[in-house]
Amino acid sequence: MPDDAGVYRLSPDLALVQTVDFFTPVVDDPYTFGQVAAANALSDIYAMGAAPLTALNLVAFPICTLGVPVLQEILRGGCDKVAEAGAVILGGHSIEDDEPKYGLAVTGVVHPDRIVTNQGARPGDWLVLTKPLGTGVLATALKAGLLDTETERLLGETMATLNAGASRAMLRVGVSACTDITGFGLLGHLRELAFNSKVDLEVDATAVTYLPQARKLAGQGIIPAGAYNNREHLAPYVEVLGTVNAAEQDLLYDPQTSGGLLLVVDENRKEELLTALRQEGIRRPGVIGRVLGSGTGKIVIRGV
Amino acid sequence: MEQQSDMVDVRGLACPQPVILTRQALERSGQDRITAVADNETARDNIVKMARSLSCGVEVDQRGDDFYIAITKTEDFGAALEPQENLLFLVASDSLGRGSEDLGRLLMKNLFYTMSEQGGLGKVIIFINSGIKLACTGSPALDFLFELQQDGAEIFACGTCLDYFKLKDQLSVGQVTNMYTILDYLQKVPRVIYL
Repeated sequence: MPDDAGVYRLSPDLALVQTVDFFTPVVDDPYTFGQVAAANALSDIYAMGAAPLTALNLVAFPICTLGVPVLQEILRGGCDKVAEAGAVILGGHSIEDDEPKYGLAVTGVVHPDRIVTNQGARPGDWLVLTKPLGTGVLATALKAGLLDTETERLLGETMATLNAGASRAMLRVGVSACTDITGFGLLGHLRELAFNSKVDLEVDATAVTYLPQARKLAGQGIIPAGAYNNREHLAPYVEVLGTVNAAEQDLLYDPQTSGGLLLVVDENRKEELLTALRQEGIRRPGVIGRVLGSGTGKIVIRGV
Repeated sequence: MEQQSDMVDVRGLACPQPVILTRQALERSGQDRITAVADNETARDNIVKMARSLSCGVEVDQRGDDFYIAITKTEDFGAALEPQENLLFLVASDSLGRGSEDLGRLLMKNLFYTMSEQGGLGKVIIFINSGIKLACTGSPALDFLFELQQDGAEIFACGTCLDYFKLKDQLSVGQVTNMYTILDYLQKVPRVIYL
């Protein structure tokens, strides 16, 4: 079944976890872009409950037009973030391209019995999200020159934050399931989790947190095409109860770059998990919903 | 007869250029009505949302593969562009309305949730009496208050009230203030809403 990363068991007590991700710049500052790309690539490893070991750079770059110093800054950002994760970059590969792209292939390890998948959600479990939504909308606004510098800084900082702390908290407390929120948006990844776990989910729209400006900009139509694509694919599985305004609905479908972990936790461990997350420096872990019961992967969004 | 109308052709442009260029055209145009021509659904939907957020009327007409989006300014168009005038919310309880305390607390959470959707700019929120609990650790409204503050709202909590409830070290959002400042705001801000 599709999960966040590929797993290959080497021995009864050791499995390899591998993943790769790369994309075009989402922020203007090359060093921050490098950090974001690395945090994003490492995220799949953390979502599986694994520890990252090694990484390989993937680079496409117009060296003649943008020059070596910009590339060096991107790679320095990636290198620093991988070092922060306690892993090492072994090498990589680069090609000439008109549009810059950067990312990494990451290898981690995990005990085969301790793998956290996206198929273990059980009726009554709670859904906890570790980062606010809205990176797609804000990155789109940045492209249009509509972001103030403080919001731009916060966007970069949010996307460059490793999911390492969230993963440590999850492993310490124990969870039923986990996935990381990226290109398919919150609802896309919830749908995958619900389908794989054979349950239905409920999301409390008033409990989801967003980056500053995100709701305002979404209301003004600053919405990336990916959000519309996600909505189109997911429409058959999503039902809205009560009122959820259009901008917020759009944000629930907003494709995230280096989004947070979505943790599914038993009622009895919920408070312990929230405490552990706060101890790991996650300021506002949000309890955003609940697993309803056995089902076919439907999602109910409850508004006011 | 079609009304006189400026045209803005945003076909072939990548997101978010269509919505940005249409908004610029709308703000600059001396006409009451402009028409944007887009060639994909993302551009169409974003332009429609932008126009509605500025209180404009919108009509979409599909011709072949293109969308002709007629946007009509209303009387509220200018007001939607201007920043809102200052508004003071004096919150004297952690529960909204009378009848049921539990229901009142839920309503208060929903109020700040809805307020945070509108944005924080131009808003001053002052918590007094049991209202200060809303700005303290464990409050269901905390996330929305953070968002409002980041978006430009000024948030204050009455120091005397924090002392009374022994919650001074639990204040999570906003600044501690006193009756001088509160009275100053009550007299200065043109519109005060009591909750």
